[in-house]
Amino acid sequence: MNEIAGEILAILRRYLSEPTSRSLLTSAARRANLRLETLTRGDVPQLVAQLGPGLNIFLQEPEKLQNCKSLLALVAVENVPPMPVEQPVESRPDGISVPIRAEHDIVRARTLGKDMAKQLGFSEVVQTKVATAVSELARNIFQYAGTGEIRIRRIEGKRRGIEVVARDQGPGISDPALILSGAYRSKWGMGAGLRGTKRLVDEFELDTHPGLGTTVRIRKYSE
Amino acid sequence: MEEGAQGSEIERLRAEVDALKRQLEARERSEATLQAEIKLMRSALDHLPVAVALVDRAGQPLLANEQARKITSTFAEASKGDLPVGLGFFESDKVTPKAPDELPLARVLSGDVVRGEEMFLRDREHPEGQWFEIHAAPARDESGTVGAVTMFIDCQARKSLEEQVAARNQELVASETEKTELISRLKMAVQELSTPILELWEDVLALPVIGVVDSGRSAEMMERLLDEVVRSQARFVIIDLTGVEVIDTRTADHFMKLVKAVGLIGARCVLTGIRPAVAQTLVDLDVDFGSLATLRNLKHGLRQCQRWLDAEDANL
Amino acid sequence: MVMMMETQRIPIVRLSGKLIVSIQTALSDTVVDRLQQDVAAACERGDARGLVVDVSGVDVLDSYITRSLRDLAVMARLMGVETVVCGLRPAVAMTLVEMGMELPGVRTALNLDRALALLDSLQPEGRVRGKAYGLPAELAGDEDEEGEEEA
Repeated sequence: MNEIAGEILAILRRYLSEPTSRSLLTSAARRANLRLETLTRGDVPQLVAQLGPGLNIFLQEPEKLQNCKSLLALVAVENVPPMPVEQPVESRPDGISVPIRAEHDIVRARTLGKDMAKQLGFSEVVQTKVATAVSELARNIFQYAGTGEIRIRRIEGKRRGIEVVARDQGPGISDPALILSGAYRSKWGMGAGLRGTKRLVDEFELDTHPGLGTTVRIRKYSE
Repeated sequence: MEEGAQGSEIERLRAEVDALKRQLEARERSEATLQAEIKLMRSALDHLPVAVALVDRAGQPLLANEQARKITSTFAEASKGDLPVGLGFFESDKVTPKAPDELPLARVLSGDVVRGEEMFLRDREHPEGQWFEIHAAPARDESGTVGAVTMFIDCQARKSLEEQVAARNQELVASETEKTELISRLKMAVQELSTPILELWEDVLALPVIGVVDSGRSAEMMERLLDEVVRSQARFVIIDLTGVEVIDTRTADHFMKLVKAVGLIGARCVLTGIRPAVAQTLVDLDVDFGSLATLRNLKHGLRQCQRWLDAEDANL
Repeated sequence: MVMMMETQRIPIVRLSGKLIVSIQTALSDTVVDRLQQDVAAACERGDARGLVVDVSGVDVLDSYITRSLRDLAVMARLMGVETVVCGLRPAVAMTLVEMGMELPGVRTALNLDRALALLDSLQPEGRVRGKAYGLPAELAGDEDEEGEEEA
């Protein structure tokens, strides 16, 4: 069976057992005179029509039946992304901590950040945003403080999310508000990195004092 | 004198017998009263809707009311570990038997008092099992703890209700999740259908924007458009704003980001159908139109793209 | 003629007189610095008729790397070698735009073929035949090139 038939099967399997789903699908395809290897989105309404009677028998609860039929109908619409087959990985309370000592730690931190975002089921774009934010923060640590650490952890609760805390014992920023406001417009320096990061995330906290180091805390929730 | 002495002896004996008779009668009366009292108490106990029992250290019943008599056989056997599999006291999962030292009698004998704990009990009279709220305390006399006083209250009805409510809650949560998922997928389909990306010509895509564009929709639109540009390898994207009467600065900002993003990946945007109100907003925003071509409508936009394509072909 | 240079760094491939840099690994600062040096050296030879930087393998671009790439393109142009960046991923493009970062002065193309075709349309003397696509604002007023037509 091809990708589109696979999407239909995945939806059926949410409600029915594997053998039942498969047999319903194959017999519906047979009755509709369609081949599962070459199924197009245009064929889907016909196939769903043939699936109807079988579903009515196996799915007794009216609400579930309705939901299943709606989901199947959506397969016919182009560009609605397919149902994910796997559930996202279970959250664990711990996170990871990456010491930033050398230049290659920047890449390491952002790769780990991207992976965690991926595990949380974030879209490609959001993964990139998270990774870029981590890269900016890690780079600031490396370039302005020399050493520090990046901590990345999952956020539990109603909204799934990711939190990154970048901490260093560097010189600190003497006028953070000015830097963040963008009035002091250095296009590429630390301020730009922080401003850019702020636009990529949902929550942004900057805690810094001259001589006492800097801590940046950011959060990104699944959209 | 003999007759007289015998006579008083008889009198004395008669008086003794009378006294004894009276004592006996009194005893019998008090015995009857006692019996009546006992009968009354037993009747009261038996009419209690709960099971009450006094058991010895081995769990044998010394005194049990009507309700308890049905259960206490299990009590004794459970203490001895004599029960057939499936009967006895169970944990709340109804499957795991309770450990011997957790049984009510054992706990009482070790000095504990059981106050209103819920346990699941299966016995011969109730093989399908039942929930009881159990109270138990030590029964003591001068020699020490001789057994336990126990009370079993049937709380099956309440537990059934609790279980039903829990099951219903779970169903509701599951159905809620399903609904939310369905809604979000429907939203996606609606967005897909309302802002379609059209392939007008080879290498030319068109995005006719209609109506109000909110920030959620615009982010999704950007993603979809960029993916489509890469997929179709288009060179031009005509964004037609004929259907947009008015635009706020935030949305205008999103569109400018869209134009920049398309430029970054290597295609080129053309804006068409800019209405007066929209033009005003864009001007107010001080948008840089440097390399951005703007044309009157979709037709003109397409024509211009075709000219560019032809010129390019001519050069290769 | 295809010639590979420096296998430990990002290789610079020559194809029909043009230089092609294809970035497939994670871009660290040292790698980018090296690349700048290598590109400068290659441009200095004087026989390159264009440079293509293929970033289709790059999944994250932060502000520093973006600036470095831009510097690389500008530097090449100063040495007389036009540069085109191709293959930027949608997710990365969206992130850059969201951050407010741009690649001013850098031409872009969808893929390698288009990039090469674009370079072909820019003649050695700097004259544009036809239209240059992805033409950024800064270069629009360049004397050597024809302006664009706006209807």
